[in-house]
Amino acid sequence: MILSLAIHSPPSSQASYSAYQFAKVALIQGHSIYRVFFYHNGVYHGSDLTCSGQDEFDLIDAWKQLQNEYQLDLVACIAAGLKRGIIDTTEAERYEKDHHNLGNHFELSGLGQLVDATVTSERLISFGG
Amino acid sequence: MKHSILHTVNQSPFSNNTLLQCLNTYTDGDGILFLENGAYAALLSQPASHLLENKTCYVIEVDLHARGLLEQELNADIQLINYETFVQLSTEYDVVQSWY
Amino acid sequence: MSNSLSSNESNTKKSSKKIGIVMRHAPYGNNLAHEALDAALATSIYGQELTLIFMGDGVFQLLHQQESKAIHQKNLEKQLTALEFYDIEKVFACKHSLDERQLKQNNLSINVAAIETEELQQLLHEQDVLLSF
Repeated sequence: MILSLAIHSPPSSQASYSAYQFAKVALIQGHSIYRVFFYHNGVYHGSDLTCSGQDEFDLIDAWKQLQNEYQLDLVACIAAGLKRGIIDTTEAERYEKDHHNLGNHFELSGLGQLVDATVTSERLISFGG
Repeated sequence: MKHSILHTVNQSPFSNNTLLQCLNTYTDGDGILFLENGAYAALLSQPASHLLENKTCYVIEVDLHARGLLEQELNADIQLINYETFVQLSTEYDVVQSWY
Repeated sequence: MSNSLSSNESNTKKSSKKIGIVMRHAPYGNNLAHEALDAALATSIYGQELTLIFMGDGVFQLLHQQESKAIHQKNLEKQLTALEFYDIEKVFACKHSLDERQLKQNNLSINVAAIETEELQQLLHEQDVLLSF
């Protein structure tokens, strides 16, 4: 089945871990994930500057590995991202910021990507809190 | 056309009325899946426990385990499931609504 | 009433889905409500069959006379009144949630259909997909 995920929670929330587990298990079961759309505080997943404690599960790294393995489309909402300091090179230039932090595995894009995922996928599952 | 809904609830029924809101929209054929802090809903002591009678309910077992709830008195009507079943359920029900 | 009509429509237009957006959170405190409305507007632009459902604390979003300037938050009421310019007409509020908070229709900034629990259940179960906020 074609699935998409909408993640509204930050990496620090257990909801984000549930979302990752869901995605991983779904892929292993042979489902396809059309897109993972990070919205609201979910956009914090896009920061490449996250450092996990040595004895802690590295959720961002786990997403990266999943992305590598399955060529996942990981999209963070551009408007929600900019508000929270999640910024790629293009936007850093546009807003004249000296730094950018969006991880290579993520892409900044508009809400149209959420709508597209909603329409294209057979199921959309939201994770928040 | 009437679709079946898998409701996911990740809030403790002791802290707010998220579960009650969910129950308000539940109809026959739906399912409720408790995860994260929603796992506290599996306790027999939770205020809305009696409202789960005759409803199809699931709880993620590792969420119960993580919270030390497996030794507590649990609502026997709630099925303990893993993430594999969570994924399976979300494809079996027509729509997923997340209550958070 | 219009149920049979709309489901025929979605059968012929395969790309169009009945998308329900469920708004359950209070307007300020965080910007979830604000971003949920942005998602609603975006959905309508893409020509999808959209239904907005306010319930729980989400009905507080509908209150009129919101003056959010002093807390430096973008006024949600203004954003809500934009809904009609986007031709979003299917806007519903859970009557039980309104009653629970003693909110009257004339306390609200926009026209919504206040629906009883049974209608709310029916409406939710009609949607092909639900975006949960």
